[in-house]
Amino acid sequence: MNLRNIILNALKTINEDLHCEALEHITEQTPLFEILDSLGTLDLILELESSLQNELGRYIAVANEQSMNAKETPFKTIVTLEAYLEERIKHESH
Amino acid sequence: MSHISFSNIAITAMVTTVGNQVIALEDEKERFGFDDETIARLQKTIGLKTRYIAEEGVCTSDLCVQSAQNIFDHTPINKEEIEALIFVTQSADYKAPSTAIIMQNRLGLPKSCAAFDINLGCSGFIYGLFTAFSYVNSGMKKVLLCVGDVNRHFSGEKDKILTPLMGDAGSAIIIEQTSAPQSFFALYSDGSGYQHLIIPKGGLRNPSSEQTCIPTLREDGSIRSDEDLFMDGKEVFNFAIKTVPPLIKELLEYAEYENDAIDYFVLHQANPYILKTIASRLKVSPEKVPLETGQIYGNQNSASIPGTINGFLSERFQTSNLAIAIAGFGIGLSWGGAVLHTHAIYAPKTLLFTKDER
Repeated sequence: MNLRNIILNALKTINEDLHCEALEHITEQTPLFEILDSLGTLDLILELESSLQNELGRYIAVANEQSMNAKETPFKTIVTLEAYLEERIKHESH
Repeated sequence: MSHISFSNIAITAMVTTVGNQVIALEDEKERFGFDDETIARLQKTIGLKTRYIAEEGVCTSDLCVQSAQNIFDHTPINKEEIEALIFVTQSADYKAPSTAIIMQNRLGLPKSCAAFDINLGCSGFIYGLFTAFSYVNSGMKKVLLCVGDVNRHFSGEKDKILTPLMGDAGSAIIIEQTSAPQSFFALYSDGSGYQHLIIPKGGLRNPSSEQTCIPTLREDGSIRSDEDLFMDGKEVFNFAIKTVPPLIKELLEYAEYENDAIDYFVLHQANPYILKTIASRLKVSPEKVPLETGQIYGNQNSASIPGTINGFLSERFQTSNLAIAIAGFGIGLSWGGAVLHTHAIYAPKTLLFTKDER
């Protein structure tokens, strides 16, 4: 399973509705959390949960207490998000 | 506040009235400038379908008076025994006096009835219920609690972020002395987050002026004035996920109940994803956590817990003895919860506003 691809595909899917230029050429530095509003972040969470369910055959809750906290959100960049998802999947496996 | 419990006090009747204008999300395309993709996105992420709003000129008190009158018309509850009327709202009839006092007269309640307003939003049902239980515990026979809002009062006409979520509702609830198992309450507040949900101007701190009433385009894409409600959606999302699961867990521990002992977890209907996340954190079966109210009726603020019971669980509440956990959370920031028992209460299906009670 390639988490980076899952994230990029999820962002691509939500951007089909958002039409956000900054999300068209995502780099490791793209500030996702600054770009997405609360609805956009929620949209991304739902998209990731759906992709992970398809991939793993089980539900992984992506939101946590810090999801939408500017300082501590794992949604800052695709790098932080990838690390966070990896951790979530490990945690849910135990 | 430490946890508080009460004995031999219970809810015996609950009625909710909603605004009689049903608006589908698609009907609001023009008003908010939504395209088909935005509509699809709102339906996917928040599940928005319809909302029920009150027509121009109808106040929250009108919805609550219809709810309360329905109780008096269909149950043996005697108006003369109502010793307090508590009205929880953010949309009072007048800046002064308290709307509850006017409602006392409209409902024909005795002059010996205490009446006052409490200014709270989505946590307001729990705060009002706790106050009502306390009054009955102190010796009052019956208390009428009214909760709700007509959102036109504070959400911007063109605010495409908040207004499409909102529904208008007014509930009436009777709390009285009766043989009932213990009830358990906990209330919290954290004013450090007051700016996350706020009507920033129009009060004494930032008085109303010509400028504060003018709607303007904001960074978040909404059009609102400084006298309209503002919500920082991200902060409120975090707040709900962070506070509600521990609140329910601690209440259940205090009551010495397992999750299985609770028939329903009726939570403020913020949005379905928040409710699903809370249910998942509590490891509660999703069937026990109703979450459709916001999608069908809109966000009913302090009326959303009774609105959910009347809207979706009416038959169960009217025919069964149930143990329920309830929680409200929102503006303030404030939150609270309770574990209660209900015994085949009067709780008809949600009513549409029909009468002009003004």
